[in-house]
Amino acid sequence: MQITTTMQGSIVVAALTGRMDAMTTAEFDRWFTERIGNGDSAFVLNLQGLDYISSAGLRSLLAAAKQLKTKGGSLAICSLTGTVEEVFRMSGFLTILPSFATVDEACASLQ
Amino acid sequence: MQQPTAFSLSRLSITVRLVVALTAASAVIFAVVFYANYRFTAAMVERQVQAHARDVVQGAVRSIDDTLQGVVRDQKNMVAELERAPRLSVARVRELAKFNVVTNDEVFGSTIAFDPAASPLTNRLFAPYYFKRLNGSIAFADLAVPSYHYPAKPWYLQPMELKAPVWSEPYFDEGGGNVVMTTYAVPFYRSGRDGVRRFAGIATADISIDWLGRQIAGLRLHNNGYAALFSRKGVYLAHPDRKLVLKETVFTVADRVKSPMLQEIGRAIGRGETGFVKGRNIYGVESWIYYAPVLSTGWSLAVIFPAEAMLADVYHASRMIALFCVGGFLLLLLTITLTARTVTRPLVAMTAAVGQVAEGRLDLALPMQAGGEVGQLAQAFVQMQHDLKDYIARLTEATAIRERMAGELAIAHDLQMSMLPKQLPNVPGLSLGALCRPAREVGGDLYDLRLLDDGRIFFMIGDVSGKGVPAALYMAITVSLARAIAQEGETGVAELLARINRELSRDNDTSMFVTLFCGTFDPVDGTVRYANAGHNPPVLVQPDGSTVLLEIVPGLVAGCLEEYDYQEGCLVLPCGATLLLYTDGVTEALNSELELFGEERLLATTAAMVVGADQLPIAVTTAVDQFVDGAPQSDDITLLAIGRIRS
Repeated sequence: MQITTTMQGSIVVAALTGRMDAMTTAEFDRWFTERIGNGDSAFVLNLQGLDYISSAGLRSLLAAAKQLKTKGGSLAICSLTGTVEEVFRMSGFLTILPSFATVDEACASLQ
Repeated sequence: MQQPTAFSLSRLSITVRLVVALTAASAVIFAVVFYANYRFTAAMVERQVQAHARDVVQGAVRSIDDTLQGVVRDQKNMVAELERAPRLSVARVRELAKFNVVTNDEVFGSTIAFDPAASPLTNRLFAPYYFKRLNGSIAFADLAVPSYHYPAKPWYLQPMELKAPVWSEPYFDEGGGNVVMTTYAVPFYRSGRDGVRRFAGIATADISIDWLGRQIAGLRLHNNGYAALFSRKGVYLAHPDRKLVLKETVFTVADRVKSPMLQEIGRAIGRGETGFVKGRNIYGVESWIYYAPVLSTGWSLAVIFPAEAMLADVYHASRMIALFCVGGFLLLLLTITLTARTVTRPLVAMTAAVGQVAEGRLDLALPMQAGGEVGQLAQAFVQMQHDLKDYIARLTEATAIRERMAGELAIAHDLQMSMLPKQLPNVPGLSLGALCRPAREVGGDLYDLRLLDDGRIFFMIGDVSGKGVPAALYMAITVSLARAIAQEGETGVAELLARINRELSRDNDTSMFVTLFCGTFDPVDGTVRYANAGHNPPVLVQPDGSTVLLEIVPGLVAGCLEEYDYQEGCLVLPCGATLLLYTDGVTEALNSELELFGEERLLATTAAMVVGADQLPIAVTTAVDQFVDGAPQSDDITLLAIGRIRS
């Protein structure tokens, strides 16, 4: 899995590409911990390039969302496609994580 | 296949390699020294031979010259008298010729042959000849006889025409003295009344050259050397082989033995040259030959030294040196071998000791070496032995820990399996099947299927996020919780799921969650009431064998959010239909080409099966195993089938 980070104002926009499974989730956890350490609190995860997400990946996103919630931050996801969208839909995560069609929409929601 | 065994120095032991290398080097050195010495000595001998030959030849040539010069001097005196005397009487002329023979040992015979114009016998030939008989008495002969007619003889004509003294080619004087002779002929002149010098005659001295043979035979030559005297035309005048004398020339012999070198010597002799050559002599023996001219007569003296005899000392010395070389060589060999042994003995000892260490005797004390490279090696080995002991101790400890953990995991596996129903309830009209196969020792999948007090069946399948021990613990909590809540007799499945979610979510700091699909089944009318917390939609196998995915409301996975309202779904399972629940370990099984088993394949595979619900989980698992074809199982696989038997 690759994480490509850009900034839109104070919002961290991260494009996740590849597979997010039990092995690669640790990379995301490290990355996220580092960003939190830097004081970032608004995150948009662009999942357009994500081919696969396992339950461990979902747990990692949930943990991130929960951590941000306690600190008054926020996390949005966008550009879900294919099986990844199916997994999010089926697991009910779409009911607890704000999801948008595009990065801009997601950023706008966090302003 | 066997490797061809090529000879390689590097395979041999150090001792052998040292010995071979040093031996080869010293053999080469010895050989070079021996050869150089031989060449140097041989060259020195050659120089000595040349010097010796030159000394001998020049000495002999001078001696011969001296003798011949005596004759020449006497002849000159006689000619002076003949030219000076105002009037020559017959008696005086005879006296002069006789005196010449008597006073010279070397002179065998002498004549004074007059031109008729100058003759004491006016205008008549006059040539009195005196010679020595064998007994030493002096005899007289008159050469001025018509049968001889001396003015036509070469000994008379040559000096007359050359106007100079002439040494004749040696000849055998048959009838005279029966000896080998040469004739020295000198022309003399007289002044007439008009004062003009005119040719008056020839004075000769016949010289036996037997004494030459004796003198040459008496030359003291080293090492089987011998001498030979040649005339200007190459005729043998003296030689140890008397058969050659006057019979052969150097050219005829050269032709016979086919020696261009001898031909060349013959030509050099004719030119009166001095030379030193090396080659085969007339007997075919390799020799050194030195030659030089006798100046007065134009003859040449040669000395011949057979090379083998000359080099005998060199050969002898070489043999001695070779003997010393071999002796020294053997001594060197012995020294090298002993030294190499001394060098390698510690290595051999080390090798043996290290071999024992390698077999596991880690406590063996290695032989300590005083210093040097072997000492350093020994120290390195001692350090390695020490490290190895430490490492093995740590490894043993780590292995023990791992074995303990493996044992604990095995127990955990058994414990987890015991949390799942050991036996499915036996309900008339129903066919039930279940299977759970964790990817590791313990997993995060779960299922439950039990008969409730009111005759309904409670069923549940779930999948905890993640894998391994954390997932297994979370699974145990979920199963215990669900079982307890289900036992309380909650009527609505949505409410039951909401309660499970609430309990799991409360103080859940790990963010772990579980997907759950649970429900009740009434075996009497086939009514299924279910609720879903983010689990995969079950497969419905229709009585006609066709398969569809059940359309269900997703619902949030359990354990995330304390307050979440789940929705209840409902369906009636007709007789002959089966509800197949599964976890994503089935649909997300990967083969080696990284293809997913997938929902489509699951539906197709299930539709093609003609087995009862009790056998369906095993059949599907077998199909998945065939699909992955040996690829390692990456996720837990759990299947639960509830089927109504056709009435």
